[in-house]
Amino acid sequence: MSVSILVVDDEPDVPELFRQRFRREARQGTYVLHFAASGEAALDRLTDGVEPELIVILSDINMPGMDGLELLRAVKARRPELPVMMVTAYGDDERRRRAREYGAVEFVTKPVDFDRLKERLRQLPETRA
Amino acid sequence: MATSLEERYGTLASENAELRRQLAEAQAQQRALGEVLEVINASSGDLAPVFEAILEKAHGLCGAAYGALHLWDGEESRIASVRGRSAFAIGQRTRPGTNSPLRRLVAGEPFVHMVDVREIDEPAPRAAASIGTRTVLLVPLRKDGALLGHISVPRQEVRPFTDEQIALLQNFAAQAVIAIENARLLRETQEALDQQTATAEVLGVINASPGELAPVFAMMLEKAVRLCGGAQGIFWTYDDDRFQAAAFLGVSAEFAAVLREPVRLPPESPLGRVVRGEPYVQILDMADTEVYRAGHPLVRAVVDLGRVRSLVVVPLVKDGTATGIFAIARGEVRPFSDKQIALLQNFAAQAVIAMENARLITETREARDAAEGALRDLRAAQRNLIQAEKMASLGQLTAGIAHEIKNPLNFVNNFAALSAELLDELKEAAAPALAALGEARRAELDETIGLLTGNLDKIAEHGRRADNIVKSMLEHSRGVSGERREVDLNGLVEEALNLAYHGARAQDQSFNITLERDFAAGLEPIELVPQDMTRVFLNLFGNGFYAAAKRTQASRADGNGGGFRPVLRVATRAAGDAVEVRVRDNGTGIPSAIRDKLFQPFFTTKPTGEGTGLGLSISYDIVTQQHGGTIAVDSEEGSFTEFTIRLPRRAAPRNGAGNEAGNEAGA
Repeated sequence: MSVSILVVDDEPDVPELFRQRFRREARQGTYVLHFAASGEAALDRLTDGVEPELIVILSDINMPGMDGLELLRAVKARRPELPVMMVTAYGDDERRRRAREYGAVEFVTKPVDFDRLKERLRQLPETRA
Repeated sequence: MATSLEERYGTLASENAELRRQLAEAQAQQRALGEVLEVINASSGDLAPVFEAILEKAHGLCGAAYGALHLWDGEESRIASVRGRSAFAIGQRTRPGTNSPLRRLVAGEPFVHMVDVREIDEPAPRAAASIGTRTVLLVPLRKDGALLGHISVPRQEVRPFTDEQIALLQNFAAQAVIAIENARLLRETQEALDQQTATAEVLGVINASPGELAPVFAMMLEKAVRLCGGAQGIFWTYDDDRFQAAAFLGVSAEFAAVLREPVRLPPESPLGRVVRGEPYVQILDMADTEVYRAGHPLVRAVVDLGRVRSLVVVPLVKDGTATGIFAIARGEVRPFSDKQIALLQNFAAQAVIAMENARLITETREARDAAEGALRDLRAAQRNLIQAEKMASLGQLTAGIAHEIKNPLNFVNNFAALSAELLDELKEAAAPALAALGEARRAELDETIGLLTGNLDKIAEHGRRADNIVKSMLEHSRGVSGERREVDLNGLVEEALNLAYHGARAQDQSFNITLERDFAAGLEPIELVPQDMTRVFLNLFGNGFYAAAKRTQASRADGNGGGFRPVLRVATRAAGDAVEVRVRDNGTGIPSAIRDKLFQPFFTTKPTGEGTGLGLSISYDIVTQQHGGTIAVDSEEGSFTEFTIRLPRRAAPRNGAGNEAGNEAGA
């Protein structure tokens, strides 16, 4: 049974990169990838409803308009049970601290180690269970 | 007729002779006056020869065998000069009686002419008559109507003085007045000059020895003793009810030994009296005073050891308080004159001014020194600030650039890695199709795929390299990187030294260097961020190894490889509330021209690919920003380089705001 992942990043090449990195999982039907280029767009996707079941949001922090941390708070306000992972080039303590405080399950620094990310994603349903 | 002619001739001859005599007399008088004037001119204030010359001429011209010149002080007449055999003696004093001839001169008579003293019933003429005097002429010396003295010309026979003789003596008297007046003016000028010279010399000593009072006291004392004709002197300071001898002059060693200690003195002692407000105290004979008889040890010592008899004591008064005292003494009983005391007081007043000037000069000098010091500190702080500012802005710029590069670089690396994977998948998938191709065609495609794979590996490799640089740059500017904790600095340095050494050996097996450790024993643990300080030490050790190795290579190239022994010396040392680590290599040294750029990001002297130019820049930030310390470099080209890191034991809270702002700006 497929589950959805929503990736939020303003970089236009991010969807391409994730599609290629997750091409086997997509082929096997493990994950369905969804993309949003801003925090606002991500919230719209949530409102519209994501199919199949959305299990995690991966969000960049530095984005024009609503940034990743604001998105995190907004998501947690609507869907407290939905895991959010922050992905950022800025691995400083202050951002880590705020991400943890707002309820992020993971803080991933760029460049993303996709093997580790996939490992973490596999653990998610178990976490929920 | 003949008779009358003879008579007339005789008369003429005698008149002629008389005229000649008068002429000769007048000429002699003129000459005498001229000679006295010459003596006056030559005397430079010494009156004795002037008086002698006057008496000699006057008496000679008046046909008197002896006589005297007397000076009048308002109460007494004193003999100042004597000529010829006489009962008079120099210094002899007379108090004139009510109707005495002298009193008549005091009253203003132009002269007193006593034809025969035997006929005058007055004590003075009687006394004169008793020693054989008959006719006496007294001619006054007057200045502006006031009597200064007189010349007395006695004769031992009754022979009145002619009007010419009286006029002549009056002339001499006038000359004597001029001489006295000249002498007075000269003396006053000389005194004023002496005082001014003394004060000037005191000022000179003050200026030559700023802040040091001992030579000033000694100089003032010397002048004071000289000005008032004393034999010995002590300059006392007075503070907190105690007297202390601050300088002596002409004082015996035994007496001086007694004077060393500060001492309290009875209020009735001369020093006690002046500090209680008396303008001066003169003691005719210290041995004949109550305070001496009372047996105060110091007063006893003053007389018995110090041989002090006549004493004058004058305070140095500032703002109504005596701060010091001149005590000038003579070894015999001989009073100081009012004039000498006045001089001493005057000099004391000037000495106070001189000391006050000295204080002001010292204060001004100190204030100036302090201001100059503050200015120097300010300039140094400014230079540091500018340097720090430069570094900070370069750091921010670096961070900004790094962030901008990092994202595209991530894509390059990611897509390169993906492409390599995809190529593998392609090879796998296309393997049956490739196998179906002809030998030549398949080899061609295999080669193309091999080249593509190689290229992707190259992209990945260089991407990794770029990524490492970017990581360094980011770490350089990143806010917090590690936890601050108390560590043993010697242990940390030792660990880093081993790490650096083995790292260098791993890279280059031919590398070798002598490591010298000079670690301070018992160094207390210091609070720092261990990983970051380790980075700093690795950096410095690495640089030292590099410089020493370069010099080794250069000396081998010169053919004297055996002569050079590379050494890296690491020393730790406690320095008050800080610790110091010195890293010294005997390598190639750093040219002074590039020393300013040493800590700038991307500045490197290493060939491309060998250094990022970030090592020292990062070290600078870690030491100064993160640990509140300093890092300094000293070097001599071709000889050595020494870095000195100074870390405060308790680091001030690190200022992270700048870095935060930098990150936001970079985003």
